[in-house]
Amino acid sequence: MISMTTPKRRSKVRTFIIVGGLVLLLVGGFAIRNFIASHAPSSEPPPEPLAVGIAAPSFTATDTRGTAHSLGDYRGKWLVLEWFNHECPYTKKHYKPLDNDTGNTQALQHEYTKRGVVWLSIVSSAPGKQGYTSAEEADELTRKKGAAPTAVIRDTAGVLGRLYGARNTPQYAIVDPDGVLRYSGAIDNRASSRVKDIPGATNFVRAALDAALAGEPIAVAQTQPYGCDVKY
Amino acid sequence: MGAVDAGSAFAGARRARASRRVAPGDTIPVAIRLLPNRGWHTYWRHAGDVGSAPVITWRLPDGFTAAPLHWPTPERIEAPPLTSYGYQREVHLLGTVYVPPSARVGSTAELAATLSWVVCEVECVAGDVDVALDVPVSATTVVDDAVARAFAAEAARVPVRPAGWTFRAAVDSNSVVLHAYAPPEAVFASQGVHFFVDSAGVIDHSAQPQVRRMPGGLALQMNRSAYALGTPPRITGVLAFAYPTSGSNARRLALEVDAPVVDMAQLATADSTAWVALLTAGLLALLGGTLLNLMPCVLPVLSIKMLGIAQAAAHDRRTARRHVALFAAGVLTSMWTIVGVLLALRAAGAEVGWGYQLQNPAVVGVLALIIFTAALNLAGVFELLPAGGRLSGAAHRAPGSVQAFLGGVLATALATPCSAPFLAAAVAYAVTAGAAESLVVFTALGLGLIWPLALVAAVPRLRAWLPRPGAWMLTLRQVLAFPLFATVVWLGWVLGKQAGVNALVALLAACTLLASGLWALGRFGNVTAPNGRRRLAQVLALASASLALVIVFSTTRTLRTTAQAVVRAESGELAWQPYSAELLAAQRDSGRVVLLDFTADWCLTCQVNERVALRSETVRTAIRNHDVALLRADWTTRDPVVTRALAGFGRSSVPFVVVYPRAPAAAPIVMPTLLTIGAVIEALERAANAPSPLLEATL
Repeated sequence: MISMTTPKRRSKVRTFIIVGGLVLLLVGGFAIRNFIASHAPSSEPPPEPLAVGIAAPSFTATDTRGTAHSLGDYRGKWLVLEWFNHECPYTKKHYKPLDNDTGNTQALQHEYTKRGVVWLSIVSSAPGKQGYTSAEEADELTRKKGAAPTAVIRDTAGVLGRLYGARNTPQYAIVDPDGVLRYSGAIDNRASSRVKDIPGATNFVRAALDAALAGEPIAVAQTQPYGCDVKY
Repeated sequence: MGAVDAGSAFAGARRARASRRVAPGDTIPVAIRLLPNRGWHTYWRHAGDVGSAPVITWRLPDGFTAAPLHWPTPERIEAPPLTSYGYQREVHLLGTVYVPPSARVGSTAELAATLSWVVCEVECVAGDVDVALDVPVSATTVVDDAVARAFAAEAARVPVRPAGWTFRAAVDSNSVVLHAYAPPEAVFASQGVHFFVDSAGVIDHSAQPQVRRMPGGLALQMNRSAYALGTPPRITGVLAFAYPTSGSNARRLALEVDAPVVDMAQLATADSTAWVALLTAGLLALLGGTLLNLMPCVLPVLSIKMLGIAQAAAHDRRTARRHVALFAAGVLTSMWTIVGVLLALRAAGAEVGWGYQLQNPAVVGVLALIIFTAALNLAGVFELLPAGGRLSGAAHRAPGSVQAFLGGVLATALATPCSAPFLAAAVAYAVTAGAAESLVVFTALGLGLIWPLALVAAVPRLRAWLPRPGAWMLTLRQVLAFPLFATVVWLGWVLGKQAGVNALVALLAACTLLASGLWALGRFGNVTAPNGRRRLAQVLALASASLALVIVFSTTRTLRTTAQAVVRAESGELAWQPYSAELLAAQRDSGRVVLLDFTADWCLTCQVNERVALRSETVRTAIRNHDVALLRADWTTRDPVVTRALAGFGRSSVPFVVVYPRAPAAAPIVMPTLLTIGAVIEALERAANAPSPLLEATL
C-alpha cells in the first residue's frame, strides 16, 4: 500500500512546486514591472524655453506695413525681440508714462535703437483673442504710446512666438550679431503689475544690452518671464 | 470696505478686524478679503507662470507696524502648458498690526492701505484699491467674538510652520528633489501631495511632482525650471497634503517648507534610510506574523499543524521536514497571491486594504464552508483519504501533502482578519509602498507565521518534547474540531452582517447539506464498502458540496448596503453616525470634538476595542460631558469612501481610531491600535481643551 502511494505523493509534491513556482514567477514579474514603472523618469518633457548661447532659430515674419523680416537680415546687429499684448496689465505697466513722461519700454526702444540695436515688437495674439489688432490699429497704438520699435511684427498664427518659446507678455529675447541667442526672459526682476515697482527694479534687458554694446559678457542671461500668458 | 468694479472682472477687497477696540502694546488682526468673480482667480504670494501676487502697502500712524501677510494654501490653476498658483474662490489674506505702547488711549488709529491686485480669467485685469479702518485705542482690548471665530476659521487655511518636520532638498540638471521627514506621530497620505514653490526659476510649475513614500516621510521629485540659474541655497514654499476629509469642502494639511539644498549624493544617503524602513517593516511583519499564530482565528489551524508535526515526528525527521515545507509553501503561496491580487486591484484603481478579501460576502461564505468541512473531517465524520483506513493512518502515517499545503493556505486565509498590533504599521507600509516592498513585507509576514512550526520540526529536542503518538491523538483531533466550528459561527455572523439574515440561513442550509453529503461519504465511502456503493457515496458528497457552493454564491450576491446605518444604531446607547466627509466637516465646523472609529465586523480587535474601551461606562460619561460627535466608518464591506479616508491617514487596516480636537486648526489625535479606557479619556480631554495655537497668536 505504502509503496504504491509514494510515487503518487511525489508527483503531487512536484505539482505543488510547479504551481508555486509559476505563482512566484507571476507575482515577481509583476512586482519587477511595477518597480521599474514607478522608478522610470517621467517621459513627458515640459515645454522648454530656448537655451541661450546657441544659434537662435531663424524666422521670417511680416510687420504691420507688410515688410518681411528675417533673422538673417540682422547679421552684424544686436536684435531685440519683445512680445507684447497692449491690453495685458503687465505690458501696460511697462508702457505707462513714468514721471519723465515716457514709459519704461519706450525709453528702452528710443535709447537702444539710437545705438544701432534692431527692436522688433511682436504681437502673437490670435485673431479674436486679447491683444490682437489690425495692422492699422497696431500702428496707431505705436504712435499714441510714443513707442519706437524698428517694426511691429504681426505673428497672428503664433509661429514666431512658439519658435522662441514665448510664454508671457512682456517677454524678451536678445540675439547677438552672429545670430546667437544671448538673453531670454523677463524685462525686470519685479513680477508685479504696479508701475511704481519699476524705478527700484533691476532691468535685465537694459543690463544685457549695456553689457552687449560694451563688448562684455551678459551676467544674467536667462530669467523666468512674468506677466499674462501669450494669447495663442 | 472698498470694492472695485474693473470691467468684466470684479475683485472686491474688504478688510475686517477682530478687535473692536485695542489697547496700546496689543495687536489687531486684520483680514483682506479678495473675492474674484466666478471663473476668475487671484494669485498666491508666488504666482507661478502667469500673473502676480497682490501687494499691500500700509499707511499706518507713527509707531504702528504691520507683520507680513499670511497666505492661505493656494490651488493649482492650469492653462497648459502654463500653471499658476492662486485662488479661484473668496480668500482672506491675514495680517497683524502692532499697536505701540505709546499709542494714546482715547485716540482713534487710522489703518490705511493700498492693495494692488491682478485677477485673471483668460485675460488679466489689474487695479489698486485704497482701504482704511478706524480702530479706537482704549485701556483694554475688546474682541468681537463672531469675527474672532471667523478669523480662526480662516487661520486654519494658512499653512503652518511644522513642529518636528524637517526638509532637505537637492538639485541636479533636470530635477529638484525635496525630502520631507515627518515626526513619528504624523499622519499623512502620499496621494494628492502638492508643492507650491514660492520663487521663480526653481521648479517647473506645471509638472506634477512624483511623490514616493520613504521611511520617515516623503520624497518629491519635480522637474527643474527651464529658467533655473545656478543652485539656490534654500528651497522654500508650501507642501500641501490632501487632508483626511475629502469632498467639496476638503481641508488640507499644509506645511511651510524651508529646505536647505544639499548634494544629491547626501540626499541619496538619507534615502538609504529607505532600506532601514523596509527592514523595519519587514521585521515588524515577521513579529506580527509570529503573533498571528496565537490569534483566535489561527490557533485552531496551528493546533492541527502541531498535531501533524507530532504525527510526522512519530515517523521520521525527513517526513516532518517535508510536511513543514509544504505547509510553508501553502502559507507563502497564499501570501504572494494576496500581494498579486492587491497589486492588480490597486493597478485597476480599486481602493483596498488588509483583509480586503473578507469584504466580499461570497468569499466569507466559501471560507465558512471550507472550515466547516475541515471541522467535520477532524470530528471524524469522514476521511479525506479513505484508502489507508484512517484509524491506523493517524498513528502510523504522516498526513498527506495536500492537507499540509492546504493547511498553510487555510492558516493564511484565517490570519488576514486578525490584524495583530504589529501588523497595522507594516501592512500599511506594504500597501502604500511599491510592489517590491509589498512582496518583502508579505513574505516576512508569512515567514513569521511559519517559523515556530519549522523550529519544532527542525530541532529534534523540541520534537522530543511532543508527546508520543497514541490513541489520545484521535481524541485531541476530535476536540480540535470545536474551535473550527466556533470559527464557522463567527464567519456566519460576519456574513449575516454583510448580506443579511437570509444569507446566514442559506449558509446554515448549505452546511447541513454539506454535512449530509460528507456523512454519506464517511458512512458508505470507506474501503470496506462495495465498489458501487462507494462510488454513489462519492457522487453524493460531490453533489452536496457543489449545491452548497451554489446556495452560498446565489444568496450572497446582493450586498445589504443599508446594513451599516441600521445595525449600527443599536450598539450601546451611544449615538454613532455613519461616516461621511461632509458630516465630519460639519461636526468640526460646529466646534465639536469628533471621535472617528474605523471598524469592520470581521475585525476581532475592533470588537475588543469597542467592548473594552469605547462602551465602558467611564468613556461613555466622558463622551457625554465633552459633547463628542461619534462617527463610525464601517469597512465590513468594501466602501471607497472609507478606504479613501483611511488612506488619508496613510493606513489601510482596521482598527483605526482618531479624535479630532475642538480647535479646527489642530491636527487629529491618532489612537493606538489597542484601545484602553485611559488612552481614550486622555485623548478626549486633550481634544476638548486643546486651544488653537493660531487663535492665540492672532488675537
